[in-house]
Amino acid sequence: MAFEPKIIGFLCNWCSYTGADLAGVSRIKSAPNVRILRTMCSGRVDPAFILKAFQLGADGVVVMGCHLGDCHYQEGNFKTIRRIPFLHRLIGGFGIDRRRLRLEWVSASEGERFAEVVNQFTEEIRSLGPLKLPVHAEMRRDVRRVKDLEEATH
Amino acid sequence: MQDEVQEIEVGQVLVATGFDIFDASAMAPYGYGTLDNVYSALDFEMLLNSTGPTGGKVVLKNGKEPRSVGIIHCVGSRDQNHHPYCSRVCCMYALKFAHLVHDRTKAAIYQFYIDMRAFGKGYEEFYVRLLDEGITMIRGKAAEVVEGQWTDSGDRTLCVRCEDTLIGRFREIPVDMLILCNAMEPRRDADRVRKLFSISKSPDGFFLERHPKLDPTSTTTEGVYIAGCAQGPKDIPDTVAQASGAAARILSLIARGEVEIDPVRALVQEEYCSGCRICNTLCPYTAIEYLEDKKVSHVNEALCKGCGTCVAACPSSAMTGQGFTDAQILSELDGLLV
Repeated sequence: MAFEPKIIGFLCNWCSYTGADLAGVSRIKSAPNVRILRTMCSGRVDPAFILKAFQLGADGVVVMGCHLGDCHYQEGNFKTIRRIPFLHRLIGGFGIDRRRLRLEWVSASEGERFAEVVNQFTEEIRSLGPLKLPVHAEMRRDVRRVKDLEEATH
Repeated sequence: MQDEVQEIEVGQVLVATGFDIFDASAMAPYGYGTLDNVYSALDFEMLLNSTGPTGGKVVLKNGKEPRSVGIIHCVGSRDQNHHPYCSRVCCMYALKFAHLVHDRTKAAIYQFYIDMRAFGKGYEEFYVRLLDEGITMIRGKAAEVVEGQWTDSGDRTLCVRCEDTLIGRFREIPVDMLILCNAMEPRRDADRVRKLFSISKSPDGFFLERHPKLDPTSTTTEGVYIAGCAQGPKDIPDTVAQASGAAARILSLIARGEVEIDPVRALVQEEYCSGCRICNTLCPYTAIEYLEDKKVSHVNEALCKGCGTCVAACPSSAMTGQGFTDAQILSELDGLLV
């Protein structure tokens, strides 16, 4: 079977998620490979989530937020823009190609741009091939452990 | 009287900053600003006004009554080179102009239109009435306006070159006066206003409503509402309807006296907080304060907007984003990557 990249897209609620929605209602075709995870702000994307995504079998991760200066929370995307280069170095150290992690700005009105980013990134990951990190059952248990811990403390 | 700056504290804001009119000189072939007797819709409105320069008389620059008047629709709207959207009001005010010119002069009237959009209550009836008044409708976009022939009295006419798509021919129509129906466009300072209230814009540059059908007056920022042409081109009845809706929304909050806030908020689990204060400086709303006595950080729930920047930064996971906890997002990840 041909390789179909699994991509995780962290989309901020106000710009990129709305932009993705616009792409949908405008019936713009885009690759189905990006699995969208909504956060209120791109600033909410904990670097650990991105590493976890790679660990759990994602071939690529794209973080999308509002354009600089347009953040619904004033400056959340400035926090993101500082985290991504750090992560690029980190995943480089793990032997993961830096091109597998991307930061993009997509505003609520840029449905076409959303589709463009998704298609382009999917093609790039497709040409890079599968990441082939071993996914251990242990890692999935990790997720459950965080969940149990959180439930226990609330 | 001297201008003065006043600071007034308010809880809600209705943004109704309106529109700007498309500068027709950007469409050079129509001769706006270079040819005499070519008017924009607003110029012509002034000419019609009884307190205007001609006292409401429709006359040419030389003071004579025009023998024929052309009205070009969709100047800058429904045009891939300028604005792809329809400005909605032009068809109807073009008909109004035709009616008033017919009323005040004996001029022949030509309308150059792409499609007639008489969409409102009573509008189609008005259109049919105008057809009965004997105006000439030419379906097709005017290509250019040039200086026409000299008349016997020594004046020069204008000549509209256009395609008449209903008969499939190119035509040249001589007119004495030409009115351009300029597009409505977002105000020049719309981007500044937008950033001030941190609201979004749609692809056409007008302010974006929270939901096109279910929430057409509010924005993504709590307490900020939009109405009128700031949100998109619309005529007076639509503006009044939208503004009334927005006013009712605002009043309903004032009447209730308290505001419901989104449950998406950050929360410190004090037993895990080491008091490192990383989150304190990250918060764009200064919602996080440091409790000196307990040596932990504390989130002021009324100030917190729930962006989660602090949650992502907390090294000991003491900060929880309600609705978007680490466990919830990780479970989502887990589910997405099965």
